[in-house]
Amino acid sequence: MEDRDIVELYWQRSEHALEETAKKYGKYFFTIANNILGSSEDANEIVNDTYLGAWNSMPENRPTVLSSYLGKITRRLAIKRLEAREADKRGGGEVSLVLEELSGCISAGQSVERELEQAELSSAIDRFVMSLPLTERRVFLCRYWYLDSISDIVKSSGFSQSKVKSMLHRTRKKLKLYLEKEGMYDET
Amino acid sequence: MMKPEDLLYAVGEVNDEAVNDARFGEPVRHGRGLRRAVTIALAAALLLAMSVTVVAYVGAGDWFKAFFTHLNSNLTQGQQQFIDDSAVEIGESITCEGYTLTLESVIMDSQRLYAKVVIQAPEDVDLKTARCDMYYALYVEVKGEKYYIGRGGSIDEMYTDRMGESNVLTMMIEQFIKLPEEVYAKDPGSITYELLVGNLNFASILEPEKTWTLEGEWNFCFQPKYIQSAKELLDEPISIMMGDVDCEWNSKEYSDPQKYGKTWMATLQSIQITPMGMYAICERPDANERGLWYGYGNYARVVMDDGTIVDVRTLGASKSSEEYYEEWFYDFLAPVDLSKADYLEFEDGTKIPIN
Repeated sequence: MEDRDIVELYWQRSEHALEETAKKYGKYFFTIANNILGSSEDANEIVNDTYLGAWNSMPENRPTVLSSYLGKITRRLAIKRLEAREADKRGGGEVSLVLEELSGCISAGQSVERELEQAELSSAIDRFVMSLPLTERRVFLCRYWYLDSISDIVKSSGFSQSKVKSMLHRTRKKLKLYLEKEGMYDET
Repeated sequence: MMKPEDLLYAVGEVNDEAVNDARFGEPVRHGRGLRRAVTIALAAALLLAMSVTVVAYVGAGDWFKAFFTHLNSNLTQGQQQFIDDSAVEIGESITCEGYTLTLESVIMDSQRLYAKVVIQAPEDVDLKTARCDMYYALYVEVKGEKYYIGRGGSIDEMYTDRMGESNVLTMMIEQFIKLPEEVYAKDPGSITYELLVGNLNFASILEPEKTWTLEGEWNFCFQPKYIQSAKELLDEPISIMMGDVDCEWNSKEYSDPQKYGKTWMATLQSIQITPMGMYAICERPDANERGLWYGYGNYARVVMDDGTIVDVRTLGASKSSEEYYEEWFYDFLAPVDLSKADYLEFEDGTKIPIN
């Protein structure tokens, strides 16, 4: 089924939307989540949460690239799960709960400022990524958006391992210079 | 302070089309089959060669061979020969602020310079667990007159060796060279190059908050053994269709996502090629409105007489001193023996004979 038809199903609040999404993109979401979490069990949970996120975000939104739109939901959820898991490891299960509780105590101003900074950074990164030559952009996104392993990128790109590593080195170097130019690189 | 997590989140918000393309996009024409076959066939030999070159930097050329192998995974006999013939041992050391820098060797043609620089810190400084960014400028002097060529920063990740003593770090410097016309008019044979390292910024890998900066002057003069001059490939201007990305790096006004994916016809006035790089002049009506320096997307490659391929890497573009023109800079992932090169191919399929 075409993406626009799936989106239409969401807008009609038809549960077939979820079936069709799972059929078309279930494996894709699983790969994204599994790359980040390294756990099939957790990844499956994130995939299910992605469907819930999709259901809740439409019809408010009408995405033009459904795969990326939903993939971003998967990615955000997986990173949040990873952070929670790391926090648990650091200080016991309560730490993440306490941090969550305390997050409501941060002043609105600080939170807005932080959000603005993050939005500015996202916008800068977007410009940077789109300025990259096609091949470098793909390799960069495979590594830092999809969190693919180097060996997976070697397989998908056909490049040698050293070329992939070298390309990523180059791109990180460019990114550092770019962030410096944009005034976003904090030397301290 | 920005954290890596911030970048991870920020990358997550890039353009949907790009994210989709990275996973589901059409393959780019890279001649990958051949490269891959060559890579697989030679993998074991190359690994062996790499390990040998990495541990045994005995000749001036070996460091550069290891560097290009790192970039390209494959060096032909001819490419290795070119490196051996062109690399020059310098061995000049200068101490400033307690840090001794040694310009060990260089390899260059008339458009590219690579230099091996060894940093030796005081004995109690651990450079094995430090990153270093080195900032420098390049000048040439001919007949008593000095010309500024360019400046750059060599970032630790580019190519670094930490195999020596704990207070020693070896780094690569790279610089694109475009000599002023009057230098050629004087006497290119008597050119002396001057490399001025002015800033070393260190950061501990183990303790990221621990940083230190050295501001000094490590000023090296050297003369290359032999410089192969650039070969002009165009008798008359040609038009090529440029790649799918055309956006400025340093423009804060850039905000039009519709520009993503557009193509445009570029009129190239000149393409000058050397064994290690390429320089092109492009006529562009909106050149004056664009940023001074920006990245752009296009892919090119050099196809050799025997069918092997050397990838061309875009370093970026900048506004020319002439109105409505811009300059494009490229380097090659391995040296090219121009006498055995068949043609240069751009991403739109345009082929330009080299001989």
